[in-house]
Order: sequence, then C-alpha cells, then structure tokens
Amino acid sequence: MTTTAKFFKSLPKAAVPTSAEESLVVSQEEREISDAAERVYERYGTDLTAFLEDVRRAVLSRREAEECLPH
Amino acid sequence: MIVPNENFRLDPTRAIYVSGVINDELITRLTPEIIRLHHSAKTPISVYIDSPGGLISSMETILNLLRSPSQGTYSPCKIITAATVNAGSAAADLLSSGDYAVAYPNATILYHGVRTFERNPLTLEYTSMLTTSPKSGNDRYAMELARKTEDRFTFRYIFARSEFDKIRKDKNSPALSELDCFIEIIGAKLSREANKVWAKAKDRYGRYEDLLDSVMKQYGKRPGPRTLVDLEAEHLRALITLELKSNRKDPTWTFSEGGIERLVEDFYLLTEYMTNYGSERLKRWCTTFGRWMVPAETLAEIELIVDEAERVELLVENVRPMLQPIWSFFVALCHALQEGENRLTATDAYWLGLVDEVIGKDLMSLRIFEEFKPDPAVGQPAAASDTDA
Repeated sequence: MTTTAKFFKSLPKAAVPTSAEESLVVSQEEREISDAAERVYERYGTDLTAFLEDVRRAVLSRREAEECLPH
Repeated sequence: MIVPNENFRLDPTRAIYVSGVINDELITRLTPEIIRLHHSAKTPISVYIDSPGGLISSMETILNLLRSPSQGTYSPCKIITAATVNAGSAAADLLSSGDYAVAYPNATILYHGVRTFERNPLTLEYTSMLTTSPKSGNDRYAMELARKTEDRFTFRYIFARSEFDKIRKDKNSPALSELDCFIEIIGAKLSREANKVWAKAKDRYGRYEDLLDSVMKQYGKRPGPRTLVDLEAEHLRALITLELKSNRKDPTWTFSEGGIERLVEDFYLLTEYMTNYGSERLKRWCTTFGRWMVPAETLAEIELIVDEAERVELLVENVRPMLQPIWSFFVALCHALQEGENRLTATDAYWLGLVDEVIGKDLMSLRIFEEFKPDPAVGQPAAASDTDA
C-alpha cells in the first residue's frame, strides 16, 4: 500500500471531505458499461490487447459492410 | 461484431441545433423544441453544436431544460452532444456536459476562463466584486468540468495502460510511475497547442503533491483528526508551515501582501484532492475496471474471497491508490483549461477526456466498448486459454 493510501486509510470517515453534489444513483448507461466490462472480462480475462485486436477487426468489418451498401 | 446502442448514437431526428451565440434569444428558440422532444419519447436527445459561446447563464439554462424530467416521469432523457464545426467557451462546456460527447473530425474546441459580459450599470461595489468573481468562477467551472468529464479521462487511462511497459522500455526507466507513463503517452498524441495546457496541468499536479506531502508530515507530529474541521485545521497548519518554508529567503514576502491568497488557493486545492479520494464515482470505476489494473497475483487473491461486498472492498482498496493520482492530475488539467486560451482539435479533446468519440477515427470509446459483442463462434477456445493464463 502506498504512503498516500495508508494516510487516507488512517483517517476516520468523519474527517474525509465528500462532494455534496455527487450522485449515488447508477444510471442506465453506467449499468451498460459495467455489464460490458463483465462481458469483456469473462471473454478476455485481464488481457486487453486481445480485446482491442478483436474490436479493431469488428470495426473494420462493419466499415467494409457499410461501404458495400448502395449510396 | 458491433451492435448499435441508441444511448451512444447521435440521432438527427431527435435533435436540437445550438448555433450562433448562446444567449436569451437562443433559449427562446430552443425551449419549445426541447419540451416537444421530452414529451415525444424517452430516448436520448442529440445536441448539435456550432457556436463560439456566449453567456454561461444561458448555456446553463439550456442544459437545465435538457436535463429536466417531463410531467409524470422522473428520469430525464440522455443528452448526446456533438461539436460539428466550432464549440468555444460556453459551447465547449455544453459539449462536455453531454452524457456522451462526440466531435466531428475537423471541429475546433476552445476552452478558456470565465469572462464577464456586463449587463448592469457599474458601481464601486460591483467593480470590486468583478475582480474576484472570475477567479472563483474559474475554480468552480474547473471542478464542474472535472465532474462532467472524469469518466472519459479514466477510460483513456485504462486503455493507455497497455502501452506503459513499452514506454518504460523505450525510455530505459523501469521505475517510471503509472502517471508518468500516462503523461508521456498522451503528451505524444497531442497537438502543440494542447501540449501547452498539458504542461500547465503537470505543474499544478506537482503542487498537489507538495501540499499532500506537507500535510502528511504534519500528521506524524500530532494526534490524528477526528472530524472534518480537525482535518481542515491540520491542513491550514501544514500549509502555513509550507508557505513559511518556501518563502524564507524572500524578505519582501508576507501573508498580507499576497501570501494569504496563495494559502486560500492551496487550501481549496487540497480539499479538492481529498474529496476526489473519497468519491463514490471513483469507487465505481475501481469496481468496473479494477480487474485490469491490479497485478494478476493480487487479483487471484481477491477473486478467492466469497463474500461479494468484501471482495469489492478489497478490489477498491487496491485500485483506488492507482486511479487517484490520475483523477487528481485530471482536476489539475481542468483548472489549466480555464487559464488562457486553449484551442484544441477534436483529437486533442478526445485524448484530454473532453469528448468520448471523434467521428470517423478509430479511437477506443465507451460506445465501442459497449457495442462490441465478441463472436462466440470464433476464437472461444483461445480466449479461454488466455483467461487461464
């Protein structure tokens, strides 16, 4: 644990400033991102390189498909 | 494959157009359009922006209207903003306020500090207030900008991490910190103009570190704080010590001649830093993306914990110290964007976390992250072995 982390951990909760404007409601979009993160983790584990390579291929394939459509 | 998700896609059939100066006339033009869109469906509203800016109060009125729920419903429509040609000043703020923000590839985005456009007759009291209000306005808008855009910046960081080892190797500096690696990687992707604001952010972040260091040293000498006000008192003691030490060699320096302003500024900087540390949103990011950040052996230990709440807490405890410097650096960046004139390209805005996506560029975005669905028929065994490894 870093020195900063130890310092923050040592502070009682009542002494840590919090943002009054912070929303505790999880939005639909946040849920979708969280689900997507779960999917990616289940499929690729901790290796994001393989994920990025598959994404690149999927984007390319979609673009090629769009270019074949009549304008 | 990519499966389109309307929460991340612009839709010109459910859109408003913010063009020209943002002022009361624009509000009058847009209000009926926004109300009609709210009542017709709950799907996202696209906000296309081509504006040099205008009155911040008018921009906030438009934003508040867009975010209002309609009668009988409690959740507002999502807002997807898009800079088409030019988004300057208040229009740049509007752009970054979108739940999802997009820039067209040749759009220009201009950030600068608060400017006061006078409508009232000038009085002595009012002119005195004007000398201090732009400064406090800048700070407030910097923090608002940070809140609006921190998710984007964190997302950049998570995907930049795959390049950290290469940077350490290229620079022959194995001990380079995560933040230093990130600063190097993003700096290399920015235009010359954007690099100026990046440099200002680095300076400001250095100040945060000095302040925190000074405060932590102070804690070692006294009993720990019990309440927020105890903590604030400790901060003030530490900051006064730091100021005295830093200015010892300057015989002209006093608190009354400028030192007190610096003390107040530093006090708020430190509060910002500490508020970020306890942020619920930071916790959410730790939970969603933390598994890609902790070392494999730590993750294996965390995943052995059966109790979910305990597992999440340990993950957050491990990830928070890694993400926190990134968030603090980002707060410093938002302050830097409020100083001087910062003219950015669409790609700069993407790398600085001000927009989610640049149309037509193959840059990783939350949209792609969500819309990408791995093909189960192809490569499933290979993926399973990756996970096992």
